[in-house]
Amino acid sequence: MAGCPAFRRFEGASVSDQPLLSVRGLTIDISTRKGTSTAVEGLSFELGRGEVLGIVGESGSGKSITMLALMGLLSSDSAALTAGQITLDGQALYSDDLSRYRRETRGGAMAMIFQEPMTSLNPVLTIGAQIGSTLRQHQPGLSSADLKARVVKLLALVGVPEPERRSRQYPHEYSGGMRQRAMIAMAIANDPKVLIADEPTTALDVTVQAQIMEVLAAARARTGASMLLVTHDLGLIAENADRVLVMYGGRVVEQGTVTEIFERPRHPYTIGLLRSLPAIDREQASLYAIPGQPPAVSERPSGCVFHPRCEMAQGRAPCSAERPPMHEVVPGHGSACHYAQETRGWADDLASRLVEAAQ
Amino acid sequence: MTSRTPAEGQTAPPLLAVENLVTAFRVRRSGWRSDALRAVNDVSFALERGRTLGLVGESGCGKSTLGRTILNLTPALSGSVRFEGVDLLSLSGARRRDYHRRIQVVFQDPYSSLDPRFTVHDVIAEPLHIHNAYDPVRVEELIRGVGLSPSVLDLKPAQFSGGQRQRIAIARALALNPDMLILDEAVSALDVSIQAQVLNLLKDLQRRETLSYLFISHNLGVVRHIADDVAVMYLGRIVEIGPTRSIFAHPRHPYTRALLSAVPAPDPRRKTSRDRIVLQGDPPNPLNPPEGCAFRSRCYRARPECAAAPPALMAAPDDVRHRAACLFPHDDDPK
Repeated sequence: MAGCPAFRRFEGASVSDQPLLSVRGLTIDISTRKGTSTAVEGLSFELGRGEVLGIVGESGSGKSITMLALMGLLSSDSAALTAGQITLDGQALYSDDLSRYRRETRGGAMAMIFQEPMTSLNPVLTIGAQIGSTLRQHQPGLSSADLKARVVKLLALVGVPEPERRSRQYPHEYSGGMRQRAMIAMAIANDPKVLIADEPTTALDVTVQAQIMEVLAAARARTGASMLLVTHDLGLIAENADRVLVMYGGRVVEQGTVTEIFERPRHPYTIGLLRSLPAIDREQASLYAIPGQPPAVSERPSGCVFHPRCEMAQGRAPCSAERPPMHEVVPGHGSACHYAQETRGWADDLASRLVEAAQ
Repeated sequence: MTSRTPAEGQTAPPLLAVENLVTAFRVRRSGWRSDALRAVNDVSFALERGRTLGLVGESGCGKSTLGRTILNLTPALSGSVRFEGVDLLSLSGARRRDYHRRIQVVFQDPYSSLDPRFTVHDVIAEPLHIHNAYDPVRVEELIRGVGLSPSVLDLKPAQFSGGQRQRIAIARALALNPDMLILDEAVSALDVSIQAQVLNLLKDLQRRETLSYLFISHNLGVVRHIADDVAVMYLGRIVEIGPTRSIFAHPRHPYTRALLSAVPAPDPRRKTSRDRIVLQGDPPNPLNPPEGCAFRSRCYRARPECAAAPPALMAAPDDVRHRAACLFPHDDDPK
């Protein structure tokens, strides 16, 4: 891609003191017919340069609405950001002028890849026109000929065959995998610093998913973009993320490097989740079924949001009374559990119970 | 009941035996012209009592159509579906109804498969009423059997979460004491922690009632966990079938191998050590599949011979139960 101005060289993940993206105390309220409830409560995280941060959680955990908030896509009448600070590259975002934020940041410094490309692409515009409009929004000076050339280059980069011809086609003429490639082309068009991928392959077949994850990795290598990878698929997180946030009931319950989270999880929810996943790569004992249901947004319990489903809580008062702070169990690995120091023992006990149950 | 499968000699026929089943759809092209789409093409397999056959494949491979054809919700073009040796496709009227009582189905989406105006009681009682077997005690027993309290019987489906609705759908499917359940992506819409609850319930029910399951899913981890045997479909055909352990440990068909290698494992240590086979392109248009082996257009082992005819399922050298439809299977690889 020599001479292509869309991409700056990627010099590897630089070890900078300042995180690229920092989110502090993010709180989102949603209003429904039943009243207002807090969907996300005091969420804080940081994303380093060139880093992939995996965000995992089940439906209703608040992961998708957090991403919409970062993109300035919350619809003001039903969901509102009530507290928190977002800083991108040292610059506070989103503080007062939302329309300016949308105009200047979205699709530029931060871009999003959605789950369902059929509903997020415009069916009456050609793929080329849609990628072109993203480019023009942030680079108004581009000539028509340059614009066309850039669109074709982007489509070629994400592996769309015959990019010249296919840029003139409409979304319905693309297969699901090709549409997701077009979506990635659009997201990287303005050389973003942060890519937000919200369930980018959930609607796709697994062999196509493997292709798309390769395209995403290549696009990131080319642009040096950091990525927030939001998914319920723990396998996708294990293979692609550097660090992981585990969300439950609108809060981060555990965070750490991917190795720490998968090999030495320290929150009862994460431990239970990993034990409830049927493995593809080995024979497995019994599956652990976390008892009960995740709470509805309007009915979140007091104290630790996980305590009604937690086997370790056993009616202990702090679990239902106090919101647990994030304890650093080892440097860089935090668990929001009052009894984080007991989790290893419980995890070992659970593992042996599951082996016994299978016999 | 006369046995029409002489090859099986004296042994009892399997609970379900599907032979050379073909299901075709007419797809309109232009004006009066139409093309035949063979969604299920020459499929054969057997399912024994109390066992689970996992049916895997990507969207459009025909796995759901195969389930629907067995249930007679979609007509077959040719072939047979034998239940305890009796061909269901040739039955009609009351006899057919009687057999279909014994094969029940649970669909993926518990939001659209339960009538929103019915109470849970009515949902579960409906099949009992149809077969003149209504008994309120039986309804309570069924709801307890899926781990819910009889106090929920007066509520409507909208008041339940996805996992609870799927339990209700399973209770309804079990109402008529079937021998077999077709589970079509029955846990696919559920969150992981809830999925584990429903999978454990299905395993318990199978042990308790000696049920057979045809477990249709695109989730290979779930299938490995629940199935005794696995059939892999590609463009309407079974390309590999055999014992679950053997299919997952030594996949013989290149498609199965690619499919298994594509699934990301929740183990960060594996990401550098494994060799992933990334298939090129999308599955071909089922209206116009490649001549010969339908997989050859994406296959990394394809040779000119593959274009001649669709390969037959052939047994592995060391295991007759493990069969693959490939001229060049992975049999020489070190195990």
